[in-house]
Amino acid sequence: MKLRFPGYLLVLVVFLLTGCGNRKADYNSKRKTVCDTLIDAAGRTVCIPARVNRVISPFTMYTRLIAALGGCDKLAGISHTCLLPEELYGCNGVLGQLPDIGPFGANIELIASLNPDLIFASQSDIGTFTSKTDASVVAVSFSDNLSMLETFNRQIDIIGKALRLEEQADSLKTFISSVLKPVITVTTKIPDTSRPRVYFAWTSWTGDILNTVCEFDPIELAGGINVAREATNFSKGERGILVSREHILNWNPEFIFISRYQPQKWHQNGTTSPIPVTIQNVIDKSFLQTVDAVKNKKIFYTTAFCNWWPHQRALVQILYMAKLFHPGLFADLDVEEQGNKIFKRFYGEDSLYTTMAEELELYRW
Amino acid sequence: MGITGLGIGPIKYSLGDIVGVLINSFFNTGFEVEPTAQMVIFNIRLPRIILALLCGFGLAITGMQMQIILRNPLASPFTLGVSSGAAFGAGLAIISGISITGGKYMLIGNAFVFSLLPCFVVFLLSRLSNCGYGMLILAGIAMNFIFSSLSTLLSYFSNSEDLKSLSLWTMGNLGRASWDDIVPLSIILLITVPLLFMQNQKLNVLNAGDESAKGLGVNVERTRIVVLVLTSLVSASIICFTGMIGFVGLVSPHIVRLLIGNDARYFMPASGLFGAVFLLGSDVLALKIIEPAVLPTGIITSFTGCPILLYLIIKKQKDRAW
Repeated sequence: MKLRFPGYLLVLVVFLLTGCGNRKADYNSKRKTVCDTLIDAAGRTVCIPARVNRVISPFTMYTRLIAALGGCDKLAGISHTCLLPEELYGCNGVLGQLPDIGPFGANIELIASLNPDLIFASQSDIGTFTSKTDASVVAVSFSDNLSMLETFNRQIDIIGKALRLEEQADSLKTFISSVLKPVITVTTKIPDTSRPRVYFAWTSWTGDILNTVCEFDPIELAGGINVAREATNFSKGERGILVSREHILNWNPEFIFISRYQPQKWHQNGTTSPIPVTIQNVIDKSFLQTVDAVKNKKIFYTTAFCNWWPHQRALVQILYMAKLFHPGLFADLDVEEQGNKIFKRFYGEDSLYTTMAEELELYRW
Repeated sequence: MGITGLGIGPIKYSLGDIVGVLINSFFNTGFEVEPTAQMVIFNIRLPRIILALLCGFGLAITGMQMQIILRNPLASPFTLGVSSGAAFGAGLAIISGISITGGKYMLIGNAFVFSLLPCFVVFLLSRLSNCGYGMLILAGIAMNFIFSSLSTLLSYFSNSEDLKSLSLWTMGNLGRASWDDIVPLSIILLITVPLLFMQNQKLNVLNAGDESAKGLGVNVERTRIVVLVLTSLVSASIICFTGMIGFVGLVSPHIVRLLIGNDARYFMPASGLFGAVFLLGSDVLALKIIEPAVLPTGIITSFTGCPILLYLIIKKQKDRAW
């Protein structure tokens, strides 16, 4: 039977498709046979290729850990959103020069063009990165149900395993534990009756201090009580809540912390403006005059979130607050020395904490 | 309801405490009152209650007048783009640091000026093209979209702190109420509200139709412009202090109309009173529902206003069917 032209065409197309499919199957099966697997934060079994040389990090919280684990040479692209001043020193100063893949990896085309081997993602982005790139996608998300330190450890484990830097991951966890243990072993034994009441003001550009967070781990780890914790049922972690002035009066905090993560407000057009709430603003607020923190001038700046915890800042924050809350218990704790040590561990430069503390006007002993 | 509101809060005060504070504050009698009670009742609760009453009143009467003048039952104080203009102005101040006034009125000044911008554009369009009511509303919708898009663009380039601040502002909140806000707002309302009341007779006539109104000697065009300018001023003044509190201006006139009818001479003050009570009630709910966290008042007015509006729409359909 002779085949007419359409028939030949159909046979040709079938051969081509079968050929391509087979090659893709070969490629995929090759990838699968030469990879290690890990269970990521989404419970997926992910194939990690033999060579991981081009890593994409859409979240600065992952980038920090990659830098701390010594994985800088593997980074191909990062998000510059929330890249803090001290982090520009990271990776021997090249972190800030890596291609900016947009907020949370919004520039998918650029990511694809960088030919990544591995992408660290949040759970909601897995599908996007998987469908648009050939890279292995590892979810490294955090959960509201975990404490800050548990989340740090989980992230370090996953990133360390994915980059085959497990030794460095263990070393980082040991370092973090060594820095915090002398403080936490003391503060965990402090009863509630001896813990100061603390209000964390997540400053709002409307100039008030009515925005706070219900769960702020450094306060508790440092031996304080977050006065807003009774609202925990409704909001956890970085999610802020609004409270009323009356509640602040009713809670009567002994300490007020004003969040600050930059010395001034930097705008996209290059201009700056002063931060919206200062210590003096809080002292001058008429409705706060009966509050213990204002009467005793126990109002301080502290570092803030920027798309979740900046790890290095959060660790120092615990030490900083512990010494403020319990000066007698931590008389020998040199916050600045420990801060510089922590920052150096992450970014390899001296005196980064001192620079930050000066710029943000943190309390210094 | 205002007196009841003074008694609601996390710190419990007796009626005697409240009366003592009020008498001491207004008449300087020298009574000994506890400093915290003085602060809470006179400087926190009372300004909040007064602001709720003033804003509710203002939004309701402007909503009512907008519905008559634009001949549209879904018109509200924000129909001409006041809310989206204000949100853009606030976003500009928060995210880009660009402000008209600077200082502590940075946000308020921007919100006020930019809330009037869409209205100005709509007025200009109406003068240039002599457009009717429908076109005015469409122009307002277009302004809403334009300024919303601009706000979205700003948000895209913002960080999480700024986004949070802007988001909270757009939800509408009375928690920052202070005497510093009430005084300028009261002055604006004292000037504009009587002028709005003076339009009532003309609005009653306008209800019968443009041609009938012209026949009775009403300058329809002028009345329309005057009412739109005044309502925009009132809405802009309110929104710059409180953020976007929706549905008060939309729903209050409808509910009051069901009760007392359409005569603008009574309909307007009644709408205002209802709006004042509605907003105050919503604010109290906002304070109590998930205490100690506070919900933005705009969320409560939307949640309570929407079902009412849906009910009115269904009822109107049923009445027509009969």
